[in-house]
Amino acid sequence: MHWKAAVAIAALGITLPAAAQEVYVGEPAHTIASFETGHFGVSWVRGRFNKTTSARVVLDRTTKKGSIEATIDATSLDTGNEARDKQVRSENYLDVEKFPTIAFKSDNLKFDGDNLVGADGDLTIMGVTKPVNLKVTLFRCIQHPVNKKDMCGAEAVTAIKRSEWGIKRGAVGIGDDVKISIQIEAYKQ
Amino acid sequence: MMRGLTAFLMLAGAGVCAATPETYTADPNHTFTSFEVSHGGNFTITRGFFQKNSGKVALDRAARTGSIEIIVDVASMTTGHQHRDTIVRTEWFKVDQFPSMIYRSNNLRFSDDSLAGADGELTLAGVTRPVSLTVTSFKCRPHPVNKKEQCGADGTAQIKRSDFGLTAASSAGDDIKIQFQIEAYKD
Repeated sequence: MHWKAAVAIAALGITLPAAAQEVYVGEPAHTIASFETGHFGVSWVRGRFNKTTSARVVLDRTTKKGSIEATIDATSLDTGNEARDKQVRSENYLDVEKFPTIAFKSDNLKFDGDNLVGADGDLTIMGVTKPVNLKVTLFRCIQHPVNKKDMCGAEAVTAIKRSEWGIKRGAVGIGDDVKISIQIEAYKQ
Repeated sequence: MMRGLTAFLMLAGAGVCAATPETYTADPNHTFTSFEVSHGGNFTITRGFFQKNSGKVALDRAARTGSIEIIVDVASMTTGHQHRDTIVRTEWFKVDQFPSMIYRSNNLRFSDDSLAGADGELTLAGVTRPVSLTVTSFKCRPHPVNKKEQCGADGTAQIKRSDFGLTAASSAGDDIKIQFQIEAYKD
C-alpha cells in the first residue's frame, strides 16, 4: 500500500469516531428552566427563566458519551410578580447586571442502555461554580412529526442549595433548597 | 323556664357555630397557579403559570369544615414564549369570552388538624367539572414579619383538558397538572 493511502485510511480512522458525534441545539420555545422554592414553610413559589441564551448538546450514542453547554439569561427571571422579580434580579439576590448569565457545563453524561439518564457538571451562578448532578427523567430522539427534522427531547431535574452560590438573603422566608426542572428540545445540526 | 333554656341553648349554639369559621383573603403576591403539560407525546414538559389570582377561604378548624374559592385571571397566563401564550389565551381558552378560571369547593378534607384536600368544581373555558385538590402542605400561623394571622397551602389537581372542551393542538398532552399556591390572611 502506498504510504499516502495508509495515511488517508489512518486519517479516516481518526475521523470516524468524530462522525458518530451528533450536535444538537436547543430550540428556545421548548428549552426553558423552571424552579421552585419554599416560602415561609407554608407554600412554594414557582418561577422560570424565560430565555435560554444557548444550549448545545453533543451526543455520541454509540460510545455513550457527550457534553452539554447551556447558558441562561439571568435577566429573564419570571415569577409572575414584577416587584418580586425586580428584587430577585437586584444585587440583593442574583445581581443580574453584574452576572447576566447562568451557565451549566457537563462533559460527563450518564447512560442506562441507550437512554440518557443524567449529567454531572458544573453550575455557575453569580460567578460561583459548583458541581451539580442533573437527573434526566425523560429522553427521546425523534423526527419532528411536522417539520421532519431530527431532534432529541429531555427533561432534567436537580436540587441545589442557593447559599452554596452565595445567595443567602431572605433566608427567614425563602427556602435555601431550590428545585430546578429543565425542559430541552434540541434540533440536530 | 324550659322555653327560656331552649332559646338560650339555641342562641349559644348559633353563636358558637357562627363564631367558629374564620375567613381568609388570598394574598395576590403569594397566590399563584402553575401548570405542567407534556409536549409531543411525553417528549418533554412545558410549564406555565397564571400571574393574577384572587381567592377566599373559610375554615372551621374545630369542625374541620370550610370552603375555598380561587379565581384565576386567564389573560395572565404565560409559558415563557409570547407567540404560544397568545394562541393559548385566545384560541384555546377564548379569554375574551371566559376571562376567569374558577375553583370552588365547599367540601374540604382534613387529616387530623391539617387540611389534606378539597372536592370541588373547576370552571374553565365555560365548562364546569368536578375536580379534587390534594393539599401537600398546610400551615396557619402569624406571619413572622407583619405578625398578621395567615394560612398557607399548596394544592395539586390533575385534569384532562379535553373534559373542558380544550382539544386543540394534539402536540400538547391531554393531562394537565395544576398547582395552586395559596397564602391567605385572616380577615
